Amino acid sequence: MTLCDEMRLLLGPFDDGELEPHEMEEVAFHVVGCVGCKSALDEYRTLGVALRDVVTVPALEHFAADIAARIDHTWIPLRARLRRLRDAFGHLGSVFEIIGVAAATAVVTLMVAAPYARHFIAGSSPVPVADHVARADAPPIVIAKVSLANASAVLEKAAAADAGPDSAAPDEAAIHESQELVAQLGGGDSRSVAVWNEPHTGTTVVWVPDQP
Amino acid sequence: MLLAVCLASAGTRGLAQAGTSSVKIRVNSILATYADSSANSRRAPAIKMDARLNSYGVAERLRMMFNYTNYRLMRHQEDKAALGDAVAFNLPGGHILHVSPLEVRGNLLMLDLVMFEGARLIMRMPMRIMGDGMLMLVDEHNPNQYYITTISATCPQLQHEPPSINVEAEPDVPIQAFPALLPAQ
Repeated sequence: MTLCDEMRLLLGPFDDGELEPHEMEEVAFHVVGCVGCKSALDEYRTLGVALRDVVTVPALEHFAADIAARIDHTWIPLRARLRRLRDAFGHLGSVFEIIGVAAATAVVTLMVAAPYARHFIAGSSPVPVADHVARADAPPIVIAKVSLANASAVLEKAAAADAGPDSAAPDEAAIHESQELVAQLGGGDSRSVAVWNEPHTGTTVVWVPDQP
Repeated sequence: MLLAVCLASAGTRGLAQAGTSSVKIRVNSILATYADSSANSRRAPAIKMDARLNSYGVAERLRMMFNYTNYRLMRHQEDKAALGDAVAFNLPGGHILHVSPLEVRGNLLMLDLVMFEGARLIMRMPMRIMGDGMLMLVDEHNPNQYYITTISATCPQLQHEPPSINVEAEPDVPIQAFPALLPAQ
């Protein structure tokens, strides 16, 4: 295909001003130097002018309004109307969908979890105790801090109370003694030590105070 | 004649001591440490208990009262003291423990404990223990190194009541002690 053949294809759009700017330049530059293409372009222009003179352009003042009125009076199928309604909601519809799904999930969760929540609140179901945790029948451990300054006095007092005729069971006596010790929590300048007492086995643990 | 007097006085003293209550005091020095439980290990560390502690009746009490994972017997000492007298025990770490049995009341033995570090007084505390009871002194020497000194006493006048220790010995499974007794880590 020669260059003139290619340019001849572009002469009609060139005359109508429909080419790209660089294409317009190319065609114009070629037409200036090519007699055959220039005559063809003149024929296109003559034909265009003649056609425009023949055709009568209708009045377009109320064109858009007339079209809209015709559309309004046109019967629209139900499916199309529903589609329009859904499209009208657009994003709002998706939000309603999300809220609806969340609400349904919450309702189902509440229905499933309500019995367990009731048990938990009422405390009816026992919680299994691990084997390592202190046994339920283990004797109580009494923790006391003893002031070194007055420990001997408290000890004597507790011993005197235990020697009474109505001395209670060993664990109660030990607890009583420990309570005495607790009541004598260190004051003043005397250092204190931590004491644990396990009355059933008679084991007493004393933490030696820290040395500077 | 002088020899006779000396022999007589010695015999008298022996008779006097035989008549006076003599308290046998046992002291065990135990080194307890806590194994570092890394975050990757799912199982709790097993307890390593010195076998000699089982024979001294200390192992069960240690498992019950503490949550350490390693217990090693450093020293076992025994001595006798009359009521009102004191006996001294050398403890690991340079401590000296004076134990003075004071009085026996039923199944309770009154003791006076004094602990020294060299010539410096660390602690003085009168305590009492039951016939088959035990006193444990816990002292932290270094981070994650605790010296546990167990003190037990026997005396003919003490009314012994067997302790009810229902701890099942599970050396491979640590028994969790009371939260207050967990060592600081």
